[in-house]
Amino acid sequence: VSVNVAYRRPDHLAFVITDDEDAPASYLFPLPAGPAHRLEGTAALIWSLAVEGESDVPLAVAELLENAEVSDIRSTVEDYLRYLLRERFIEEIP
Amino acid sequence: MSHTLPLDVGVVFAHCSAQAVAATVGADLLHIKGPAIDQSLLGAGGDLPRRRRSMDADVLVRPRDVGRFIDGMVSAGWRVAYPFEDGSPFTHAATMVHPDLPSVDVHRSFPGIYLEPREAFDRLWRDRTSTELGGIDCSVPAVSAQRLILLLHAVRSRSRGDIDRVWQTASDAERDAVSLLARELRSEVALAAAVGELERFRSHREYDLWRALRDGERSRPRLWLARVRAEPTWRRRVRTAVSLVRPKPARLARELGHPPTTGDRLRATSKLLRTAVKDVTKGRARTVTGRR
Repeated sequence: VSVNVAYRRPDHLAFVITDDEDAPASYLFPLPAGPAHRLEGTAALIWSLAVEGESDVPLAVAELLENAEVSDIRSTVEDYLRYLLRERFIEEIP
Repeated sequence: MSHTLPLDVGVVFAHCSAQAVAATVGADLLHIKGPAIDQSLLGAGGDLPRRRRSMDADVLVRPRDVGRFIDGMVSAGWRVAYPFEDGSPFTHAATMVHPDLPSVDVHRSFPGIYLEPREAFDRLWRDRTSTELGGIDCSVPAVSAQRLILLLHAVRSRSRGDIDRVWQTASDAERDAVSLLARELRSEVALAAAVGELERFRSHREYDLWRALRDGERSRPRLWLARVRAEPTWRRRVRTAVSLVRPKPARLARELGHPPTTGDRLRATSKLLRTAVKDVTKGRARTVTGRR
């Protein structure tokens, strides 16, 4: 994971983002057989920003989470991006 | 199905899974009903249109591709719960189930369409369009065909609201498009049952069946007879007649808790026939009472 790397949703991954105000979530389903995964809160936010092609996801997260310093969250967000890559929930845009 | 997966989300993933399998095995697939319905058919008014709520995913498969599609679904973790012959009396759909998702109804034809299924699919496929479900491109029938399919289904499910929404609110041009397509698909009688024009088709062989379905006929023998009469050829009439009095093996196995023996099947057939005879007797009694 490095700055200025953009990500996208892999073709094999179906997703639904629910707009329930109490519990917004992203549901992911690797095709064709699953299983389904549910990402909530900040996890859902990081995945969404990543697949929208943000080149600096930690910075985008910090801007959206008011009062957060990017330096404080960068390593945590990058760890999570590594997890998403490992699980093939995101992939790097070549 | 997982407790944490909302039904709406699960239905979308079921469509996506079917689409992925179709792409892998090279099957042509049209997504029908539920979340595949065009937004314009979901109702007007001040609210944002919501995708129609559905308990399962419905797909229509090109008839020649049905076998390999079902094999592909099985390879992807799906299982046939009810084969075609065990589904509705129209034997139009097989039900497939998955440990984590709502079921998929695999249609090889659609009740009310009397054009040969291969030709009917060709006609629907020719005008297909696409929609995105769960981020995946899925082929769907043209909007006028979706309107027709909803109307035909509404007769069987007696969904007055669906008929009002997709017919009463349609423009003249939209209705003309549906009527034209219904003629091509030989589904004019079923459409007429939906839109209140069935009496124009009194002389058609499908009339009795669609009147019975429209009116919610509960007498089993009357429905059987109407279904047999509605078939276009003698061969299909005989096949339909046999299928209607034959107990459904998968359903029987589920009821019994084990694969049915010959004796189980005979007893189930007798029970079906006894129920039918009882229905006839009740019908006669009602008629006599009515004449007094």
